Amino acid sequence: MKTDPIDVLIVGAGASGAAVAWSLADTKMRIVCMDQGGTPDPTQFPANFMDWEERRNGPDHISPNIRKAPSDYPINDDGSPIKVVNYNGVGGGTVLFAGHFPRLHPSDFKVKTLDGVADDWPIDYQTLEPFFAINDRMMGVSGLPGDTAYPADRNNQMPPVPLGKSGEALAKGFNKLGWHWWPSDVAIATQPYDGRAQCINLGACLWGCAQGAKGSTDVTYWPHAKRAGVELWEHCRVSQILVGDDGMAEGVLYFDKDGVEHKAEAHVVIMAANGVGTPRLLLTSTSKQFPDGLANSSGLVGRNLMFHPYSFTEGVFDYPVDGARGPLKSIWSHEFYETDLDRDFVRGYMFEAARGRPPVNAALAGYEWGTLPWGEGHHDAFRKLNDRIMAFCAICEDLPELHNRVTLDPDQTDANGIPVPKVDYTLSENSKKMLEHSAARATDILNAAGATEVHAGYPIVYAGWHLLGTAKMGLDPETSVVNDWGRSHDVKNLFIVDGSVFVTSGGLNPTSTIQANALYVADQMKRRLANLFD
Amino acid sequence: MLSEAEIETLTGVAGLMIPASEAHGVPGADDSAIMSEIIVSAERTEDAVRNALAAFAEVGDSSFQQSHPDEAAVLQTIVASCYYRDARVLVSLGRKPQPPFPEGHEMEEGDFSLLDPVRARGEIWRKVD
Ligand SMILES: Cc1cc2nc3c(=O)[nH]c(=O)nc-3n(C[C@H](O)[C@H](O)[C@H](O)COP(=O)(O)OP(=O)(O)OC[C@H]3O[C@@H](n4cnc5c(N)ncnc54)[C@H](O)[C@@H]3O)c2cc1C
Ligand code: SF4
Repeated sequence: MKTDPIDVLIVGAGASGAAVAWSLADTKMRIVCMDQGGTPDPTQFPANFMDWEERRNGPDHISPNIRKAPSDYPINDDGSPIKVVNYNGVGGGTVLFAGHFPRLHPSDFKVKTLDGVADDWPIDYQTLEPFFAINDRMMGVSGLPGDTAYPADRNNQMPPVPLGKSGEALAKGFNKLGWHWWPSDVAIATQPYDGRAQCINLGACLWGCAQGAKGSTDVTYWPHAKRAGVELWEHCRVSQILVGDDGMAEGVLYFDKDGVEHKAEAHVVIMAANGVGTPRLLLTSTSKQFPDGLANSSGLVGRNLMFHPYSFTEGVFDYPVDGARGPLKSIWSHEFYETDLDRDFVRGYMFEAARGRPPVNAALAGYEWGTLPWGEGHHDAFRKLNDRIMAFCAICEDLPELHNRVTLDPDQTDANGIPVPKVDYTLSENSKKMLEHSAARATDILNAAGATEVHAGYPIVYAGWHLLGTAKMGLDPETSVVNDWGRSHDVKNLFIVDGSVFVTSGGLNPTSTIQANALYVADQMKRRLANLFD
Repeated sequence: MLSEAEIETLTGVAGLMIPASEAHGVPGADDSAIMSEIIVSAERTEDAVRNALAAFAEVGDSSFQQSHPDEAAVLQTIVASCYYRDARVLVSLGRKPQPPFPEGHEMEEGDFSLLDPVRARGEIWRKVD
């Protein structure tokens, strides 16, 4: 291990940590990124094994509280109807993500101006546009240019993922109703791309891509960042950000794999530990100068947690569709994305098609719906479900509310004795109405597509995959945690680049925007190197 | 570890839940190879399984599915997870008896001309300025 001082220390090697590390590498500074987990081994992903469906319910569960891997930390989410799901290791959430890759819309940055709710962002779509493009190139995005729901500035690196039978049936349903749909942008290689093999439609994207086709940052940004000199320190769990008497960050305390505590000094600290991990660490980092946690003079660290409540609607068809084959996402719809004053809620949601269910899961759906009997009738009934279920979800915009928050659990600690985060979250009336609306419209679409049965439910419980808002970006230090280029208002050498900085959530998957913002912050840092701390 | 009596009850439940079918050419979930996997799975969540088996013993037939939905769900999850990965069962469903990787699946690309009406409608994104 080198002993010369660390210039930039990044906490978290996930979506945003990888992007910021890669971008800063061309400064030739000494950059170290620490993650509490290691690099995932694709030969151990569930899709390699006959019992792949069962593994997803145990050792490969998307919830850290069920998975309980050594790299995980528990999260007390008893106070939330939506449970946090994540991956703690190199690649972060992108190891498990579906790769659905929409960008926030231009209107998402101006919700206060347009709809009189929440706040406008201090930056806009145009600010991020060049960084969306760089990020798409690094992550490798497949899709079809020309989507009428976006400005005409998007280019894809590869052709779209297959519509398959399910995407095509849904498309026909949308067309019958006259509603918008488009092949999804996905960070999945449909052709060999940047050393990655092409997708072979395994249908197991949410449990790690054994093929290496999915754009998780362990296979996209990290090989490039490491080649450019960034040091990736695996199995290092940061417990605290240290500050000096001058109120500047001095580095971090961290535990290595064997539980031994170390100190690492750095000139700049960048937080990329996600919308739960980052506020947790800011709150554990109390000191004389910062008794309420670091960067928390506004009292907003941990507040305004936004998840995106999801509705999930499934249709049963009288002919085989895709089952679980294919990348999870095929098409999206932005028909109900914007505020419509005729509805009883503000803002809106995006639909995303979600293929169907593999056999075990199809059986479990039949049991849940009461359509799969025990005994004699089992086999005939099962064959009416097998490969014939098609799923559809809506991602509802979650508006920021102060009482939805991450705090420190007063009693529980992780394996290293660090307090675990406690999540308290309630669904707003606006979200409940939006969920209800989305499930009703999804039912319309599935019926129009020819479903013989439709089952709708919401919110999905294990769907706390988008962790946003807990260290808000803004111009006013009294009402935000970081400024318009990601620097903490209170600590001038502390930056935040993960989903915590989101001012509002939009009604779509956030990772493309999280990473574009991380690249934008890195770019701002590089432009201001001479006076970064002024 | 589950006791012999518990394993016997579990085997009975599995056979009742998913019996063998000559018409479909499939074994029941009480088949010995499938049962040995079911037992391994059941022992991972032993307390919940024990509880569910005790509840089943009181009812003794398939009405258990309606009368004790939570306990039935515990057993259904384990039995279905092991049954629907058995090679004979997968083949009867027209699937290859293998995990998804490395062969993957063929997919229809689909008809992208279905986008014509969407294109004809024109831009729908909300302008901000
Ligand atoms: C099942 C699933 C499906 C998803 N699908 C999609 C999708 O289709 N599209 C989409 O846009 N998004 C999706 N997401 C969300 C996406 O993964 C996240 O938005 C994204 O990864 C967030 O990036 P981040 O940099 O903020 O944090 P993360 O990627 O979560 O990275 C945080 C990293 O910080 C590390 N860390 C945390 N605390 C510490 C500590 N104390 N010390 C050291 N390291 C630490 C963690 O180990 C982790 O690696 C999905 C997520 C999941 C779990
Ligand atoms: S469907 Fe494609 S991206 Fe998803 S896991 Fe399979 S190969 Fe990977």
